[in-house]
Amino acid sequence: MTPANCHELIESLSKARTVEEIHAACSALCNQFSFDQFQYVARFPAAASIIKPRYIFIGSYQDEWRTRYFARGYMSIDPVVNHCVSHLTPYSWEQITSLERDDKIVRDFMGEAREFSLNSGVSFPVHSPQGEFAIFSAASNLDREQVKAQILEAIPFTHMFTACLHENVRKIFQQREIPLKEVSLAEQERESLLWVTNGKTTWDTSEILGVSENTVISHLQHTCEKLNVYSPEQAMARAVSLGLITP
Amino acid sequence: MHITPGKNCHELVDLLIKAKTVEEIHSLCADFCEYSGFDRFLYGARIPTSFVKPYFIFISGYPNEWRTRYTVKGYMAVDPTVSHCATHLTPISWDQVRPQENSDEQIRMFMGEAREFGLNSGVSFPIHSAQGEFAMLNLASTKSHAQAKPTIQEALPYASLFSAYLHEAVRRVFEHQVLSLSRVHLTDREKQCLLWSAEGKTTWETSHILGVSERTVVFHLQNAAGKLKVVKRQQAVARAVSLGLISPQLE
Repeated sequence: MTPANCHELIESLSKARTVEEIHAACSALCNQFSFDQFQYVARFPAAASIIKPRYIFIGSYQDEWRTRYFARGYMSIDPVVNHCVSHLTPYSWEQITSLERDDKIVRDFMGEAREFSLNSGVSFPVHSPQGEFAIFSAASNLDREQVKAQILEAIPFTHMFTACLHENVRKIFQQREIPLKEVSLAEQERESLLWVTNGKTTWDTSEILGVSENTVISHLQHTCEKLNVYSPEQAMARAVSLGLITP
Repeated sequence: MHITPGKNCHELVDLLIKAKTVEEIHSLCADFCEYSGFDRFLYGARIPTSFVKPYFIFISGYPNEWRTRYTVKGYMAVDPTVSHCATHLTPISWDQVRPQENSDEQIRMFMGEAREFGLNSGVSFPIHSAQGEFAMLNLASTKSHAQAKPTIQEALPYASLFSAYLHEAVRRVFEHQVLSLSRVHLTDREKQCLLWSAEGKTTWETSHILGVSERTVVFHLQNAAGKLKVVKRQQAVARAVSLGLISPQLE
């Protein structure tokens, strides 16, 4: 792939303003590296709850496979997901260990995936500072050995493409809908929450910040309102998972 | 003159996967920097050991004098590449630093000082891990922005891939020293109690959801706090979320 092609692809991706345009950019990437199918799945922390996140799918996997995947809870046995939740590095499907392959459940899962022409491929994890988690996969109906070189060539560029893809999806969904409503905390609200999170009492915090204890309490209350939650525990969990509070 | 980074990138990544010491990692970074046509590199990572006092790890090919000045003057709060990387996944070429930021006196001075140390142009790669770490890889050149542009363009995909492997290598090497917290193992019950607490449920409500006694919920929460080396439930929730031990459920 020439640098010019690379540049063009990234350009068209970053200009995409609709899901369809993003889909088209991903398809172009697949063509470029001779992949047959792709799928991007993102888990966004919903604004209202940490328990029920929101999922976004963009891809060309067959609907039947996707439905079956979720209905049967394959997410918890898929070795790709297992790698991606804790890693930053791409996962070529041939990396599935012999130990995993020995597991009948995993073997059956892989067999079923092959029925949908998902024979080999490579997946890229995304962990955003805003607490989102996503995976972009590019798949081929050819066997591992046949696509090994092609996958190796595709990895560096697709890795960068994935980061760009995720940022763009964020942007689109942020503009379009409610879930990612950007919450911003005032400096003192953030500091109050930070110290309380770190085990200080409201009184300690007031001394550290040089304000009255009531001010600290009112900052915490405002923060809860902004985050649409009721307790300091919730506020902290939300603020941390949305990346509003970092070390 | 520089060698095409493609082939070397894969080789260096393979070596990174095997690297066992900081020194090895340092020399691999230096090789990568040279192969891809840059003059200097700096890798910095912030490990969330505590919210107020996080732990920093640096692997540096920058001039020491500049690093000292950077710390003393608190430039981390000024550096526009840091603020970009903290909120983005995509790399930033230093000439993309936004004009309004450029017009800021402090930032202009900062960039001028960096140039005195031969950091004329470059590119920064953000790294965000599943375990809540934030890191950056900077590749810098003594050339002007215009001259370095082709080098940067060509290096982008390889360097972004390299930075991911670099961070995982650093995690592995430092695991026993500072990352021990991220290997804390919480039981399913402890996680469930923390999760419902994060969701705003009281211990009484949680006990009904899980079908156990309230005392048991308190017990699990205390155990979780102990494992996370914190005293309070609020701290435990915050630590567990920031370390990625509890996260939105996978349905």
